[in-house]
Amino acid sequence: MSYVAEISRANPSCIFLVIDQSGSMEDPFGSGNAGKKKAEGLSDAVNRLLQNLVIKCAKSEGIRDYYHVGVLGYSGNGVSPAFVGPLAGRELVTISDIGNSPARVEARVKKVDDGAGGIMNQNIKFPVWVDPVSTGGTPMCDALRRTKDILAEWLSHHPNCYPPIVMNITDGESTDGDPSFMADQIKSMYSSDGNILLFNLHISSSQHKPIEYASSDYDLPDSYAKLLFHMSSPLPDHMWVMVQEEGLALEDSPRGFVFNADLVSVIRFLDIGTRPSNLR
Amino acid sequence: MNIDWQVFWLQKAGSSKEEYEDAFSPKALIRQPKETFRCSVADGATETSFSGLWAQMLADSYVKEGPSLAEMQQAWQNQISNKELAWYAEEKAESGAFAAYVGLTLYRKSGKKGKSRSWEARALGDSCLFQIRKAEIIAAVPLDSWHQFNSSPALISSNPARNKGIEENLVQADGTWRDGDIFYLMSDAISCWFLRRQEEHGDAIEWLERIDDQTKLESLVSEQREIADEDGRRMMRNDDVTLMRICPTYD
Repeated sequence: MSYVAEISRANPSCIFLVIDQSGSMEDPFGSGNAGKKKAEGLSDAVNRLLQNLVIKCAKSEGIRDYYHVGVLGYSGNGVSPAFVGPLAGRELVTISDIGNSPARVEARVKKVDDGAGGIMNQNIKFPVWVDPVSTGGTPMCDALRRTKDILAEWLSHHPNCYPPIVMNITDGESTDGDPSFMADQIKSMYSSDGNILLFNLHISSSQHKPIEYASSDYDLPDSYAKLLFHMSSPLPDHMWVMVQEEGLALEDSPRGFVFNADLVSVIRFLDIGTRPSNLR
Repeated sequence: MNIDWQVFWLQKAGSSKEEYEDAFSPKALIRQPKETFRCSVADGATETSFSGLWAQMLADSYVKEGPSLAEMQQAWQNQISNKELAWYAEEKAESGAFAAYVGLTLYRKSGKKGKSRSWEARALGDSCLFQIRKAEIIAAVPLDSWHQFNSSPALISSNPARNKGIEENLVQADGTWRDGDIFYLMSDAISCWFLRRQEEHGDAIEWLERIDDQTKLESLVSEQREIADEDGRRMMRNDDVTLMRICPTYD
């Protein structure tokens, strides 16, 4: 059985984000995000993912290095690490490096339920590791090739790990060919616990309703979404069970594909120990 | 009533002793005849921080019959507020700490129901009580099958907002005991192993009875953490382990 390896400091796993920083990310972000560009939606999604992963691994004494993390950007400037601030230029870092070295911590305002039927503003800290970027073409194939090389090297040092999860965040318009072949190459790599998981988050200008963990391409609004859906790995059984426990009704065989939604839920599904059901 | 009491514990493999987040109470036993004996085991959730501290508060409060939950929550908050925390630790602490606990009270003469040699138990989460008589499990609280364990139990929180409806998960039980009965309080990983081993091989009770020093617990746990079933899952999940044994006698 796959995807049962313990994730620990002695046997860490890897989360690898591959993010689209091309010119088309300048376009407006759809699905109720009026006034926001896709590039802003993307950097917010990445920063939220990293923030949630850091908090997941945080303990009383500090951050436990259950994960190694990479963020690779692709744009008209080519393929390169996307961190800004102290981690700039680094391909893979530990989750404690992430937690201890954001470029900055912004003060933001979040709208929350006031418990009396209304909405109130709450001040929150929003650490930033990646800024919005939108330049030139979309070399997704090159980005996935580089991802494959980095993870092949990483797997050689961590042969028994819970398999790395690659999250490709894009509007889907690859300009250097069909990325399916490189996606298959990545998914064919494995540790003793199973194949690498490739998930895709499609950020679109479409007003189509958000979709989480699609089971077929039937409802997907365009050919880019359909392509990314077919590139995505099926959710491992334990994640599927956890999605259902959270009350999301899924059809059979859901894939790691979301459309204009976020992938933060994936962080909740990573099993590093007891997680109370009343902690949401 | 005389109490023969022992406790053994072991931290998760790969963690230091300081990172052990189970808790138990009492910490030591004064050997003198008692009319009533209270004890508890609690288990702080791995994914929450300062949960070892919270688990100890819960275990102590059961044994000492106080302070109240609200007072403990305030005491936990006060301890955390005094620390200088990084952004992530602060955010994590805001969610609160979470823990499971099980508490057992043994009565010599008359429990609240007026019976001689009676016991009462209270549990929330997946730390368990087992009563053994003549090599059989005659009571299991709150879980009685290894299939009931998962990595997302409802637990009691230091954050009042997270405890809505939690009382529905509180399990209370009672019964009677005889000389020769053995009670075990255990945290979840060894409870789950115990029920599975007993169901599949029928010898888990003997395994536990042989544990009379720390070395024997370490040997059992490290062996069972290494053995995998046909699905690749370890027979004993790698987690903190606490095993408390209580053998009461009437005189």
